[in-house]
Amino acid sequence: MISKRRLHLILRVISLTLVFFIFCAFQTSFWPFLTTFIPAPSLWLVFMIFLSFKLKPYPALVFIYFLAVVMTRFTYAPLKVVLMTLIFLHGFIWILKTRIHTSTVFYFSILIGAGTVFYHVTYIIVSMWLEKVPTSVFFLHRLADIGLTFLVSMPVYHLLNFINNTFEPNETWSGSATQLKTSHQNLGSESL
Amino acid sequence: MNFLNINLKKILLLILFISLPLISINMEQKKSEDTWFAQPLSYITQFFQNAFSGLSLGVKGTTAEYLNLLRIKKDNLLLKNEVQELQTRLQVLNEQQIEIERLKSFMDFQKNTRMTLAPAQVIGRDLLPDHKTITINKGTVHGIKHMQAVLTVAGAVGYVFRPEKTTSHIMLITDRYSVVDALLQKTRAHGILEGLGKDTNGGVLQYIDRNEDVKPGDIIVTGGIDNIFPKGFPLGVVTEVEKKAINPSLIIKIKPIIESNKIEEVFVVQNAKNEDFLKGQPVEAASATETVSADVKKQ
Repeated sequence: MISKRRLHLILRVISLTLVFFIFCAFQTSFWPFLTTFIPAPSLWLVFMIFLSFKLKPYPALVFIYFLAVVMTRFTYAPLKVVLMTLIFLHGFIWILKTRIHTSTVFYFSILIGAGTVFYHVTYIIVSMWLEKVPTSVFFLHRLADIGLTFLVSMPVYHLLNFINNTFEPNETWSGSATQLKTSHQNLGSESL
Repeated sequence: MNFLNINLKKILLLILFISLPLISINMEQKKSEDTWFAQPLSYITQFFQNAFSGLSLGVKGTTAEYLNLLRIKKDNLLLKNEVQELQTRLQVLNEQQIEIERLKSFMDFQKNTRMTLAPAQVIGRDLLPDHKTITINKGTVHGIKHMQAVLTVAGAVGYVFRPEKTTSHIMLITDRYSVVDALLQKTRAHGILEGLGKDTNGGVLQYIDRNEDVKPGDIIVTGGIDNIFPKGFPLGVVTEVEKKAINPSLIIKIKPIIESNKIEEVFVVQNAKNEDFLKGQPVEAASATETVSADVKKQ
């Protein structure tokens, strides 16, 4: 019999993956048909940064690897470039979140702004390193992308946070303080 | 002593009262003429009458105008709504007309060519700005295979690089991984069109001999090697020709005929059947090529 905690974990992974699919589909099949000039905000990137921000480093990295494979179904970008860029991005976000501690509501937006700039710079460098035909700078396009992604980061954060919290296992207050402490330690080791 | 007890004053008054009607009777007999004493009175009367009549007309006019304005305002509002509704309907009709014309040209193209074509709709674009690919709503179940050419009525679009069951991914000729066999329409010189990943100056034509006569505005068409693309179908227009001292070939920059972000419907060439458009291009392709060529020349 599957435990409630594991069920929550599975549901969380499934729901977040579905949201990732929805974000990618929105970006590739909805936005470009509404406006041809303004690039779509990189919702998938907000999602990746959210994972690095919210989850523990190693489970987050595994999930990001999986989503990178999903991502290649929506783009011609080679998996090696996507993976390499996302590893660097994950490391960058992890460094930022472990060194900057603030309770401001714009903390996530600031992370998104810095993360998006970092992603674009890293992508260009990794593309030059790993690809025979490297990508171009597309300065204006990337600049617009950074701006738009920053703008949408707050609502997207609230949405993702809501989904993440919905399927987060909650401990009920029962038993002694020692039991509660033990159960929290178990929870920490089992959950993402 | 007054014998008859007659008051002279009263008599005079009596005479005056009697004479006044008599005078007036006399005046009645000459209606057409004003007496000397009545003329100033007439003038004053006329003045006042005219003035008040004018005032009355003015008030009446203003009131009528005000009432008219109220009615006009109401009518205007109704007409405005009606115009807006008609404009919306006209816009819808215009859109439909354009759609019908586009689909008609599509049907005509399909009917008049000997190639086997599968029409498809664009349903997605690449997730990253670094790649120029599109997704269409036809896949392997519809007979779509790897490396089949994709084109529109106006020009070549790209080729299938990842066919899936119900969808296929198309690499556009502007993608930096795209390589298409091409030739200069004017001189028939063969070269390779490589994508640059941009919409303007979307590709570069390589391996054209440096002595070839190439100018901005010249048209680049498909080469037709391997029977993937039909021969002579428009690819782009030359925008820039670079001749380097050490390079034996020219570097020719190309603006694609098709704007990748505006493609809605495409044809997948399932069998080109050695179609050669150099003998005569479809009307839409020719006009699109001319438009782009004229733009480039103007620039």
